[in-house]
Amino acid sequence: MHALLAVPFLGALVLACIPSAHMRAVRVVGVLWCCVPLAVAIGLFVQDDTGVSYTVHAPWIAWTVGGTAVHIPWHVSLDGFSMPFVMLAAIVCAVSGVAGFLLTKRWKAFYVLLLLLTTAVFGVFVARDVVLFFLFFELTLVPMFFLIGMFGKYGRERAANVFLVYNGIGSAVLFLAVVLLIVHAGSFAVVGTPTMGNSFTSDYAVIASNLAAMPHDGMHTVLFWLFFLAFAIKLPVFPLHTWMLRVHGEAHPAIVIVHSGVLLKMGAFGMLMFSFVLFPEVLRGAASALAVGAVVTIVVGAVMACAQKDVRLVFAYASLSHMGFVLLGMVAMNDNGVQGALFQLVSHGLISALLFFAVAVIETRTQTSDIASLGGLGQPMPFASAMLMIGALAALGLPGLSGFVGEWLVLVGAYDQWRTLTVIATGSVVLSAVYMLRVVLGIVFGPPPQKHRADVRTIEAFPMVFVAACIVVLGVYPSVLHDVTREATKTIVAPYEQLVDVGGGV
Amino acid sequence: MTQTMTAYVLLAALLFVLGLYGVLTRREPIVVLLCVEVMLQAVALNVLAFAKYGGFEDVTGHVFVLFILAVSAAEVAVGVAVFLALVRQRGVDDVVKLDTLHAERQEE
Amino acid sequence: MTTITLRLSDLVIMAPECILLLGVVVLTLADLWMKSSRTSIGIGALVVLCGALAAAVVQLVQETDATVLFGAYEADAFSSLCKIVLLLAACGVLGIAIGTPNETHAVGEMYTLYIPALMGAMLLVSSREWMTTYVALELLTISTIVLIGMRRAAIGKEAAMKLIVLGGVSSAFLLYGISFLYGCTGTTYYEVMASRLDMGQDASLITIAFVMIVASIAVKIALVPFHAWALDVGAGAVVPVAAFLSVVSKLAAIILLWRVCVDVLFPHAADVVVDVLFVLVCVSLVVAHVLALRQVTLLRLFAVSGIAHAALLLVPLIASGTRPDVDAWTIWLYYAVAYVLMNVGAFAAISLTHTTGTQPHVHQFAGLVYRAPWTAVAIVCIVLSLAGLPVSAGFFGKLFILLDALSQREGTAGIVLAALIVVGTVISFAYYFRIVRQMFWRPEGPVPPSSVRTRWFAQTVLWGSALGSVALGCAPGWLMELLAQLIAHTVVS
Repeated sequence: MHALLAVPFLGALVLACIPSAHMRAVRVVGVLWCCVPLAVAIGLFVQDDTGVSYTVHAPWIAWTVGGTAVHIPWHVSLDGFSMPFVMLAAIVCAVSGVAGFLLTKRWKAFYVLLLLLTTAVFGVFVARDVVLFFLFFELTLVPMFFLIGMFGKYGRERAANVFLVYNGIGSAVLFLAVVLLIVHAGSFAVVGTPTMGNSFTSDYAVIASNLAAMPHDGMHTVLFWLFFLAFAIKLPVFPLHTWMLRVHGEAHPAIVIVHSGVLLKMGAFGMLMFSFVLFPEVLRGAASALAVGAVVTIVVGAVMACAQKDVRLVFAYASLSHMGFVLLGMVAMNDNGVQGALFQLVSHGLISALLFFAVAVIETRTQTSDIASLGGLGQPMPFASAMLMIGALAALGLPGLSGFVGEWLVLVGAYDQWRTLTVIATGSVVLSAVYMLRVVLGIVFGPPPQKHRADVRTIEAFPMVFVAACIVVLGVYPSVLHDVTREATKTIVAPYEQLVDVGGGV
Repeated sequence: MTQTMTAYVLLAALLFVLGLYGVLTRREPIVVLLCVEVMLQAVALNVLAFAKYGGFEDVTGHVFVLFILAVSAAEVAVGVAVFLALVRQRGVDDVVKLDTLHAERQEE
Repeated sequence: MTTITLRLSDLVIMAPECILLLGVVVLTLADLWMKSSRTSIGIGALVVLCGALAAAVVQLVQETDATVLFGAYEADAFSSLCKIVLLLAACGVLGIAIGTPNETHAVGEMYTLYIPALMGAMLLVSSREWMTTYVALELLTISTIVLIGMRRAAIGKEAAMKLIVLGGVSSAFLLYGISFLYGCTGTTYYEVMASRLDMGQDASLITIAFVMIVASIAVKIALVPFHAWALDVGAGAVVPVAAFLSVVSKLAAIILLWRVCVDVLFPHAADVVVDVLFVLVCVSLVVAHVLALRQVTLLRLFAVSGIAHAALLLVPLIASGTRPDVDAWTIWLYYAVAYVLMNVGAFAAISLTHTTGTQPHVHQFAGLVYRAPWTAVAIVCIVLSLAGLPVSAGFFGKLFILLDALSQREGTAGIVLAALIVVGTVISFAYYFRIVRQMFWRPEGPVPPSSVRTRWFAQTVLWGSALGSVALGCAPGWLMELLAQLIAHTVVS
C-alpha cells in the first residue's frame, strides 16, 4: 500500500542522481519507472477484488499540553472509493511517461517532476486525513507549475502563471476551509482526560462522525461553499475554467495528459469527499442550483467546443463539458448518479489520455494543432488516425465504449429530480457528436498532405493500444469498475438518502 | 501629584513635543540628532520629576536617568561618526539631501 | 539595605551572554594585535557563538529557572529557547558573512560586531526590568547601526543615519511611556510594576503609556504603518547585515513585545492593547504583501516580506485576546524556528548569486538551474517554505497559526485574521515565484559560473536551512511536542 507512494518518490530521487548527460539512461529509466506504479496498482487491484480495503492508521503529528491535544494522524486508505482513481492515476501517469519520449529536451526534469507529481496524486486519493489530503493536494501544484512552464508552446509561462494564480486561490480557500473544519468539527475526547472540546484531530472519519452528530448550523453552509469553491476551480465549473483552457492550449501534450487525465479528477474527488458527503443537509438545499450550474457547464463546454479552431481547445472544452456531467451526477447524490460520475471520471481520464497522446503524435509530425492546416492524415498515419477515432467516438458517447456508460448513468440518476435539465444535458450529447466528428473527420479525411508523415513507432503505439483496450473493456463490461465502486457508493449516498427519506416523510 | 511635579511633567511634555516637531520638520542631520536628544532629555526630566516628587523611597529613577544619558551619548557618538563619514564621502552640500535610498525606490 | 554582590553562580546563570562578552573582547584584541586574516576572525566569531549556544542548550537541559540581579535577569526555558533560536540565526548570518566578498571598510569588525548586537538581543529576551531592557535594546540597535554604516558605498551610511534617527525617536517614545509607568508605580521591574499598577486611579495615563510602548516596539518590528524605514535600511545594508536585521533584530523585537505584553500590559489593559495590535497586524498582513509585489530589488523585497512574517508571528500573541496559552507559545516558537530557517536560507541564496558592487536584484537568479542545478533545488525548497507550501516548515507554521487563531477566538476576529493570512499567502505566491521563474525559465545571468559553487560557507548555510525546512515539513510533530513540554511549566508559572 505504501509502495504506491514510495515507488514514484524513490524513482524521482534515483533519476535526480543520474547525470543529465546520460540522456539515454535518463529516458529509459524514466519510462520504465513510470510503469512501475502501474504494476503496483494493478497488483493491488487484483489482490483487493473483494472490497476489503488497505488502511494504515498511525500517529504522525501530535502534541499534548495540559488539556489540549492536537492530533494529525497518518491515515491512508485504499478502498472502493479511491481504487478507481488510483488505477486511473497509475495508467495516465504511465501513459504520460511514455509520451515524455516525444519531448525534445530536459527529459530528466520531466521525469523527476512527473514522478513527484505521481506521488502527490496517489497521496491525494488515498489520504483519509484532512491535513494530509491538503498537503498532497498542494504538493501537486509545484511540479505541475514547473511542468507547464518548462515544456510546451510559446505561451507556456503565462499558462503556468495563470495556473498558479487560479489554483493558488483555490488552495488558499481550501486551506481556510480545512482549518475551519478541524476547529469546528475536529474535537475529540483524549483517553484519560475528562474534558473534551479543546482537543483537535484532523482524521476524516472522526470529523465525519462529529459532523453527522452535530445539529446543522450556519458554519456548515460556509464550509460547504468554501470547499465547493476550492474544488470547483480545480474541476473546473463554468465561470472558473479559463485557466484550464490555457494549460490545455499551451502545455506539452504529455503534460496535458496528466493534467486532464488526473488533476481535474482531484477536484471531483475532493468535492465529493468534502462538500457533498460531509454536509448532506446543505447539499439538499443547494442541489438544484448546483445542477443548473452543472448543466450550464455542460452546454457552454459543448457550444464553445463547436467554435474552436484548435484541436487542443476543442478537447479542452469537451473536458469542461464532461466535467459538467460529473458534477451533475454527484449532485444527484443517488446510486446511479454517483456511480455514473465515478465512471465518467475514469472513462474521461482514459479518453483524454488517448486523445492527447494522439495529438502529441500528430503534433510532433506536423508541428501544429490547428484544425485548418491538418487534414488527410488517415492515409499516411492510419494507426494514429484510428486511435484518434476511437477516442473521439468514446468521448461522444458511442454505446460499447466507456463514455456511454458514464453519461447514461448520470442522466438516469439526474432524471428523477430535474427532468428539464436532464433533457437539456442530453441535447448536448448530440452537440458533442457534432464537434468531435467535425474535428476528427477534418483531421483524418480530406486531401492527403504533401509531405511524408511517418506513422507511429512501437513505443508510441503500445500505450495507445493499452488505453484504447481499457476504454473498450469498460464500455463492454462496465462491471469491472462497478463492482469496485458499488459498496463505496452506497456508503456515500446513504446519509443523503436517509435525509431525503426523513424529509419526504414529513 | 504635587503642584511642582505637575509643572515638571508639563515642561517635559512640552520639550518632548518640541523635539518631535524638530525631527519631523528639519532636514539637517545634525539638527535632527539634536532634536532626538531633546526628546530623550525630556524623558529624563520626566523620570527625575517622578523620582523626586513621587514619594518613592529608592533611587531607581535617578539611576535610570544616568542610564538614559549614557546610552544617548553613545547613540550621538555613532550618529556623528556616521555623519562625518558621509561628509567625507560626498561633500557637505550633498549630505543635507540624503535621498539616494529614496531615489532608488523611485526608479523602481 | 542590601549590598550588591555578584556571585560566580550568578555569572553561570548568565553564561551565554558572558561567553559572548568574553569572546568579543578576545576577538577584538586578536584582530588588533595579530593581523590575522579576515576569515579566521569570522571563524573565531562562529566558535564563540557555538560556545554560547552550548551554554544555552545546557541551561535548557538542566531546566535552569533562576533570576539574578534582583530579578532583572531571568533564565527560564522560554528565554533559553529563544536564545537558541537567536544564536542559530546568528550562526547562519555569520556563515553568510564569511561567504560573502567584503564590501565594507572594516576587516575583523565585520564579524566581531555581530556579537554585541546579538548579546543585546539575548539580554532583551531575559530582561525583566525596564532599564536592562532599554540598555539591551540600544546595544542591539547601535551595534547594528555601526554594521550598516561600515558599508563602503554611501547608501550604507545613509541607511545608518536613518536608523539612528528613527531608532532614537522610537526609543524616546518607549522611554516616555515607561517614565509614566514608573511615575505611577515607583519601580522598573515588570512584575512589581504589574502588581502595583492601578487601572482605577490613572486609567487614561496608563493606557496612553501602554499605547506608546506598543507603538514604539511596533516601529522596531517595522509593522505597517511604521515600516518605511525597514525598506530603506534593508536596502542600504550589505547582504549579511540585512539578514541580521531581518532575522535577529526583528525576532528580538517581537520577543520583547511578547514579554512586555504578557508580563505588564495584558494583566491591566488586554482589550486595548490587543485591539491596537489587531489593527496593526491586519494592516501589516495586507499592505506588506501588496508592497512586496512592487519590489524587484531583493533586499527590499525581503525587508517587506519580513514584515508580513512578523505580523504572522504576532497572531498567536493576540489570538486569545488575553494571556496566550501554552499552545500559542509553542506555535509561536515553531514559526520562529521556521522563519529563521527560511529567511536565513533566502539571504544565503541572495548572497550566493550576488555580484559584488551591485544591488541584489531578482535578475541575479536568472538561469541558475543551468549552472548550479542543486543550488537551484535548495532555493526552491526555501521559496516553498516562504510561500507556505508543503512540504516545508513554513506550511505547518502557517497551518498551526491558523488553527490557533480560529480555535481561540470565537466570532469574527479569528476569521478576519485567518482570511487575511490566506489572502496574503496567495499574493505572496506571485512575488516568491518570481525568483523561481528567473531560476528556471530565463537565460543565464552575468555571474560567472564558478562563484556559486565554491562559496562553501554560504552553501552550507543554504543547504542547512533548506534541509531543515524540509525536515520540519515532513515531521513537524516532534518539534512541537518538544517545545510544548519544554515551555509548559514556564507558561503555567
